[in-house]
Amino acid sequence: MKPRRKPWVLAITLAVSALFAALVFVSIPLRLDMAGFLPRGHDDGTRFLLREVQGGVAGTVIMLGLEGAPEPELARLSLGLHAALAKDPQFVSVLNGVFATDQAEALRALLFKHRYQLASDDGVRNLGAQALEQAFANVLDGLASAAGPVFSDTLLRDPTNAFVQTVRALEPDVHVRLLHGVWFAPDRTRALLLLRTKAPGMDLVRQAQVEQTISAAFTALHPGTAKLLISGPSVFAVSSAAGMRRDVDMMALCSFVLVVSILYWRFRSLWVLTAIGVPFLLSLSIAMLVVRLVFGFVHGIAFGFGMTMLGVALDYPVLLIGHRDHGEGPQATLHRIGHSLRLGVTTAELGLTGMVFCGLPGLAQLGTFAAVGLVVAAIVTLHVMPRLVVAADLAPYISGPSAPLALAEGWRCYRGLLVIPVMVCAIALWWSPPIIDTRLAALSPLPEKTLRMDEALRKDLGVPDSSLMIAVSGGTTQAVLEREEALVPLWGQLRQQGRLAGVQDAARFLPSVRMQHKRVEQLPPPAVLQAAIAQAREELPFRPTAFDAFVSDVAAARQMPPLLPQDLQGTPVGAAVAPLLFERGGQWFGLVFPESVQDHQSVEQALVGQPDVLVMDMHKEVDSLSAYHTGRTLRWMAVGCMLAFAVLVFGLRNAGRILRVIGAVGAVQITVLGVFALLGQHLTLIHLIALQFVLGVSLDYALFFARPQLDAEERARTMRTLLTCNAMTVLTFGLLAACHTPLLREIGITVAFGVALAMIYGFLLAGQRPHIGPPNSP
Amino acid sequence: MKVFSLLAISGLLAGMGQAGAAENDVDLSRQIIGCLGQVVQRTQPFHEEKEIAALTHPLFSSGVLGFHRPAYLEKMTQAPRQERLVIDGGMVSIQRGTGSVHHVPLAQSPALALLVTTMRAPLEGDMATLTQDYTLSAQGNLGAWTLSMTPVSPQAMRLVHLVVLKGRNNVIESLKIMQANGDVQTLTLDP
Repeated sequence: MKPRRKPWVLAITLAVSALFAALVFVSIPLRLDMAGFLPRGHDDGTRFLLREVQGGVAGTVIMLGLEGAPEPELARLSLGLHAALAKDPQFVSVLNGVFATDQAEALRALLFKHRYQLASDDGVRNLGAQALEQAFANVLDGLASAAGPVFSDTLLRDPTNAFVQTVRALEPDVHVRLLHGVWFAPDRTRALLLLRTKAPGMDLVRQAQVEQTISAAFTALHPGTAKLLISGPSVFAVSSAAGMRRDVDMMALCSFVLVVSILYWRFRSLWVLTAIGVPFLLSLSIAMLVVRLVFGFVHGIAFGFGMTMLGVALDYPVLLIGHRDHGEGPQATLHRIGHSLRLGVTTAELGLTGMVFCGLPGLAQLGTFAAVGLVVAAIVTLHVMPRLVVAADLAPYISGPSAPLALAEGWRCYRGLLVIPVMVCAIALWWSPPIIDTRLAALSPLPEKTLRMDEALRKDLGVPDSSLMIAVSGGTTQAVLEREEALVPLWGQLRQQGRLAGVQDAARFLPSVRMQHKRVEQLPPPAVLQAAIAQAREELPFRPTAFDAFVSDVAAARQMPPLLPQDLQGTPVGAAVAPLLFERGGQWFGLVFPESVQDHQSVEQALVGQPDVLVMDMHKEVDSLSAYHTGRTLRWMAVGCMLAFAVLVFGLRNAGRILRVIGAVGAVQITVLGVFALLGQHLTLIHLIALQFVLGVSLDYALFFARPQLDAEERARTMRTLLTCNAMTVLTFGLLAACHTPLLREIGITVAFGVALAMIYGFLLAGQRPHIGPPNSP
Repeated sequence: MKVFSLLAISGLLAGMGQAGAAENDVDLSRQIIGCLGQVVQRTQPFHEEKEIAALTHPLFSSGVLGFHRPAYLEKMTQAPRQERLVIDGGMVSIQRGTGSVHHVPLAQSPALALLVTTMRAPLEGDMATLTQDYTLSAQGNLGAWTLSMTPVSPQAMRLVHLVVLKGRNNVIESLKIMQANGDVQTLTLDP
């Protein structure tokens, strides 16, 4: 005697939920950049530096490697790329070892004119008779050389090499070898290019165009077997955003299809799908809304993970419908499973404490998204669903005991055998206790291979990895430049001690006005210089007029106004200075990038007490943050576990059942940890969080299996329903394992494996043994 | 060594110059260059005199000039100071005394590239490269010729005033480069 179905209530509810969800999805865009997942610094200073470095000069560097062909061919490609990209307005500079003669003609004239103000070595301004005699002897030797005639004018005008010194200082410090006229890596057949883009590194749209331009230029050169490697912060940002987009899209689509197929297969009813759609849409959209409100934005990773959480959140409506019999009233089903369901939700929530409270913005978002999604799904299941389900009279397609299920239950007699794998894993754990990896690099959304290639390219090209950042501040550009100059002796000391290779800062390109004045003051007046020259050339075959141009250049330098930042505008040097010297809110800042830092701590210590200098050690920052977050996660996990235990004790009030549930859940944890130990997998923050999540879900399963006084019908319903739930969870988290984003992948693998075990152990250990079970079993 | 530093940073020479125009005997020039280009390999002792405006007396040097196809020219100066200049394809390497070897790609130094063209292209019989920078005119006959090269490209005009080669058949006897700044370099090749 079935009551008349009234599915229209259900249909309307779904339509309303869908409308609500659509509104939420349309109005909240997803953020895909990595900044949301990186540490933000512990105070204003470090936050400022991180922002400037991530969004500033370092973000615009792109490194190219060419390999997979013989050297001459790679050199040809390097020259071709240089020619194609150097004239493209998207690039500030394109360097490959070729000195661009034509584009820098005006710059060369400018530098030649100001050489006595710019050259940092005071030796070039030592124009005494003795120094000049040596310099003139070198000039004579140069003139006698086979290549001498070509350079004779310059040799005579600049006998002390001030110009060579000036230009040298402007060239980047590269650790490359010059082969066929272009840069090659020192230790392998790989041609190298160093680019800087006009677009900021975080402008993903323009950076994607830049990459397309590079690839197109490369393809146009008919590279044959040669391969192009591209690396740099912007390249990573673009590729991980694209990867994340793909992941999110894939997750959304595949999870949806998977979940729908499983549910349809289980219930054979579109109305059931409709009913389950309600908690699905509501939990997803409310979770998104809450995350947006709490964090200010919703990250793509959180959304992707949220979609995966579907597999778990939908457990509740599935459990409700799966346990219902045709014709049952709203409260009848809840009466049987309500208690376990509430306990399950509570323990699952407690399984998320580590993630929610770890303090990392990205992970906390995942946790919040999941927690809100679960709660909403549970509330909808308990308070909205029963009436809808009854109105539409939804129940499983197949119900009642079956031979395979009975057979499977029979296996519980042999559950003692589970001691073997658990013991093996426990021994493995004992032999090699899990190593907790607190590096935050484990959280980086980038594959490790990519990071290693980046490191190699950086080392060869001398690109600072911005792991140690220093900023100098002052009221004016000149004040900043003077501060930077005051640090020069310190850098010299550190270099001598082998702590670093050098630094890149604005003062290296453009000395302060004061410094330029100080330098030209060293130059002798014309009469003194003439006398020194006369004395110096006494023994040498130079005519009296040979150095007239030199004398007039020195005289002009003594009167010359100093070179200012605006004089360099539009030149390659100006482009190099601009990102290193900038104004923010009325204050001027100079960024200093140390190169090849060997010992962060001693560099930091050396800077202690320097006024107006901000220092941040990215590694230390990250390590301390990571240790802090791992500790915090562990603490919150402990709190979560203790609370879950308390809930169990309070909820079950039966020593036997508590023991069975805890036994099943503990066995899952030991096995997962043991398998990690056997595989040599280090535990990261991600694994810890995923494990705690597994704990929550396995408690949920165990609770359902451990319910007392079950008849065969109910046991079959539980079996079938939990199998459905489990299949959804394992498959959706298994999907995460196919993700491009490492963070999602690690979570996916751990959870899918753990949850599959939770089903097996829960079924075998938490459920009652048939026939020989405890006295209170039916 | 200063000149090497200049080579390394390259392409910085700024001089002014004008070019003279000359009538030419195109056929004879072509014949001479063609004739020179037939020699696949040569090794000849040389004497060089450099008259440099800034110096009170000329600089003399001597050594051996070697050439072989393709595109390899080596100038080994033995006195007064050892120097080895090798031009191989697009790369120049220079070693003075026992110092380290400096490599400069020709692409980086137009001035050096011009010097290489001036010395190497006649030996290669490479009329096409020569005429990019110079117009040629010849006097005499194949048995005893004088080949004058007048710069036409802006780069050559800035640096060079006139180049004069003298020789017999496929042998070059002397090469005289008059630079735009007045310096004169005369290379005499002994038979």
